[in-house]
Amino acid sequence: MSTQCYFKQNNIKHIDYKDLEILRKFLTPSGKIMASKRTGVCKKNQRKLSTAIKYARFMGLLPYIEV
Amino acid sequence: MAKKTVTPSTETLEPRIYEIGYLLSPAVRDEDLETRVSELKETLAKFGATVISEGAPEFIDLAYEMTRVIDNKNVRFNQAYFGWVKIEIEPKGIALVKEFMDANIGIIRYLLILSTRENTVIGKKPLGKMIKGERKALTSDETGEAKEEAAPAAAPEAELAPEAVEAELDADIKEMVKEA
Repeated sequence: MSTQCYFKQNNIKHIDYKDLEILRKFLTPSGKIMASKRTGVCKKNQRKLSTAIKYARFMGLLPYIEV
Repeated sequence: MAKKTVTPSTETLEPRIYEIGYLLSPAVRDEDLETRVSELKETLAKFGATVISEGAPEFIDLAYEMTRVIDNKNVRFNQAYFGWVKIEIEPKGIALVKEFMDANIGIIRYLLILSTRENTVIGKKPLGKMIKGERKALTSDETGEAKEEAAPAAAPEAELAPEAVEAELDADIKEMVKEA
C-alpha cells in the first residue's frame, strides 16, 4: 500500500516553521490546522507539522485565525 | 538496599544545534540592521556559540498585532524585521543567550528551538514578499479544493478558442466564394 503522507512522499524530514508555502497547504481558509484524516499526513509528521505551525504563529508569520 | 548513583549524562554537556528566530523592531533603520545583527552574533560568540547559518532580517507584515512592554508602556507592532540564526552551543550557555534576548529592547519577540545542522527550508519564496493579501490568496489557492475548482474554469477557455478561429475561417471562405 503506497503512503499518502505529503512529507514522506517528498522526502521531507524536518518541517521548518519558516517554510510558509508548505505550512499553508495544511491550513483551512480560516487558519485552522487541517486534520490528518483530511490531508493523509501520518501521525508522526502531523505532530511535527502542528508544532511548526504553532512556532510560525508565535512569530507572527501565520495568523492564529484568519478573519 | 544498594543506593542508586545518578551519573550526569554526558549528552547534555555536548554542544547542540539551536535556532534563534527573532523579530526586530521596525523602528530600526535599514542602515543599522547589519550592525544590530553583527552585535547579536558577537554576543552569541561571547557565550561560546558558533554560527552555522543565518537568514538576514527581512521586513514583514505581522499576521497579527503584537504588544511588548517597553518602559512600562505597551508598544504595539504590526510590522517587523524577521531574521534567524542557527548556532552550535553548549546547553549551559543557552541560559545566557535567553537572558540577553529578554533584555534586548530592540527585539520584539524571539523563538529558541532545537534544530539540525542541515538546511531545513524547502520553499523558495522569501518571507518578506509574503504580504497579508498574498498570504490569504495562498491559503485559498494552494488547498486541494481551490485547485479542483480552478481547473474546470480554465478548460472551457481553451476549448472555445479553436471554435472561434474555425468560425472566422468559415466566414472568410464564404466571403471569398461570394466574391468569386
